[in-house]
Amino acid sequence: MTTRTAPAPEKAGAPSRSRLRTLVDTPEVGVVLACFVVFATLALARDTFASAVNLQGMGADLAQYGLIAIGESLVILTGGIDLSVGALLGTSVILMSWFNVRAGLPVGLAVPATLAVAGLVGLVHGLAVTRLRMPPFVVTLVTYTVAQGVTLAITSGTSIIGISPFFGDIGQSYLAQVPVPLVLFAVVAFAAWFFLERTYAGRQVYAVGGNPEAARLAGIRGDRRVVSMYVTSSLMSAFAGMLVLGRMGVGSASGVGVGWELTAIAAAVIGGVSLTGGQGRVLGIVAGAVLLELINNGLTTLQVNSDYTNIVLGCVLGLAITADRLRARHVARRS
Amino acid sequence: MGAAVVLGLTACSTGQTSSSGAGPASVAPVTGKVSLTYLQKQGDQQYFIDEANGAKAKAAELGVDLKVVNLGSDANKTVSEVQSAIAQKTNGLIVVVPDPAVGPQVVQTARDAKVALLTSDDQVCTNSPTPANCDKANLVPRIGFSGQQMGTEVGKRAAEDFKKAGWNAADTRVISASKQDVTVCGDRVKAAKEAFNIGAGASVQTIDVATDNTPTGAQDKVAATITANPGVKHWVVWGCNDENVQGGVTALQNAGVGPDNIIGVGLGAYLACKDWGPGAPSGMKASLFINGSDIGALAVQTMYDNLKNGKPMPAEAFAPTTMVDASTWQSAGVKCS
Repeated sequence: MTTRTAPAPEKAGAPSRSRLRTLVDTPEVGVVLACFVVFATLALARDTFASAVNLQGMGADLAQYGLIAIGESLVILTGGIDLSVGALLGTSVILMSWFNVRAGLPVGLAVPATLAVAGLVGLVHGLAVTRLRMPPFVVTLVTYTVAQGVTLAITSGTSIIGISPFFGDIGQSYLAQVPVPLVLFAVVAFAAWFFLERTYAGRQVYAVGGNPEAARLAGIRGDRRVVSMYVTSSLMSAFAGMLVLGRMGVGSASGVGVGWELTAIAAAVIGGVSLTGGQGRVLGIVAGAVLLELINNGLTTLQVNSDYTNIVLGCVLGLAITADRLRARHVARRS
Repeated sequence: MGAAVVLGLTACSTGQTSSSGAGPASVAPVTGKVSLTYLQKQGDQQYFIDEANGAKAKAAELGVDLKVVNLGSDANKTVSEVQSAIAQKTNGLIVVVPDPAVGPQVVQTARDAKVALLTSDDQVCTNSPTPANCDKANLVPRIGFSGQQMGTEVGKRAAEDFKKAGWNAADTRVISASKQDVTVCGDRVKAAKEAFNIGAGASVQTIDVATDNTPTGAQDKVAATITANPGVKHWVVWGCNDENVQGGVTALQNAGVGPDNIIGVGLGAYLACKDWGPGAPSGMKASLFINGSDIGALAVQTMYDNLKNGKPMPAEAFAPTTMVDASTWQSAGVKCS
């Protein structure tokens, strides 16, 4: 005998409540909302904040930090970390200049050559983590140190001048008043979103980061996914380096990229990417990068002493990590 | 994929233009309250802290709205913060560039926005990334010290003390400590070395020590250098700033080298003075007193006069420097914080 249980009658407010719960459980919602609130507050506080000139400047900044934040996040999703993104960006600026000016390569070769070097670095990271089982923190910290040394060794502290105008065309141009770097960032962000949300390989990245053992038992070749994410992260650093080079107009070794890895990690975590891996979406990462840029620029607009900027950003990051932990605990309790 | 997108964008309109001439095209006089932005490299160093304080004090006196920004050593941040300051409707920019090579980019941005530009400490050329090769007419007006002149003074004093000590060149080493990616540091230590070689009358081996321009950073690196040179009896120390020399002297003294076997010549005097307390012999024999506070105040005053009264900015205004030691630093007006 089979018994059928009649479906319980739906309460009037149930669908909207479940939708609300879904929203609350979505990490990106909070940070997107925060972006709107911060923007509106600053725009009301200072009329110069929402001016075209300021928004264009913020757009150029966002592209630089956003690109390495996406690269960093892809690695974090696999359960790893890449501390070399900032230093590698600085080295890429110098390598691109060196290939173009000192080696005399045209842009069409100088850019791919730099991307190839960066990709190779990412490959080494990936293989060291997957094959040699070295901690990602240590592997990428080595590169962080070496990359800074290479930058100085190539330049001896002197900037490389006379780079191709192409870099300026990329770093300082506008498409319908929108900075070209921002357009490129949007294209890359869309590609990352499509990869993670709409492809089988992207889903595998989440699986590997969320539960490597389960992924292995499901027949997913986790090592391949991890390696490809480290390669992508390094390529993002080099790509961002090209935009930075274009903006500066010279291959400068002076502090470029130093400390940017912390901004990238902060953008990821604020955007809802879990540091334990397997959780986070591109919308959140982009929103995290936007929020950091809004705060950074907003504090300048409000004439807050630049010494306090890091304090504020640190507090925001602390809140994001706390929220992430509380959310994880809340979800665990419900399941 | 990113590379493909980039290579397809070469046809875009560019924001780059080239021009010459030191100042922005035309800066209208300011009728209301003057708003200035002071962009400093390495704003956590004592000299630049003093400079910022001097600028703030002068701004308060003149009723100027002043914003001080610490650029660290990031050349890219220089460009970014200049754009940000312009967006905030600043009337004038006073810039200490981390890397003079981004100078033309800064000049162009300021000129396009018709914002007055003045450099402090380090030179910037309007149309060349290397100020040393720049035509005088194309140098941006500057308030500061001459890096080469400062280095020369340090080298001269070190040579005098070396001769006076009667040391043998064979068992003496010179430690030249500085941050190697800071262009002006290179100018200073290079000038010091040249002046020392001329004045010492002997060829003493120089060891270039790469530091981060902080006392602890210099101390760590110099400590390693001492270990690597066990047979050396006498040491001469100079560097990009007081931080380097103080760190170096401390490392030597910690390693058991007596103050009589150290000739440390600082640059700044703001840290050297701490070694010159009563009855405490020190390897820090002298330091070139450069008053950052004076530079900050003079820069704000110069910019204010230009914006309010239309007074042209001088091509270059140097503040005086004084070599001080344990017996003269107080009378010279060094403030030991």
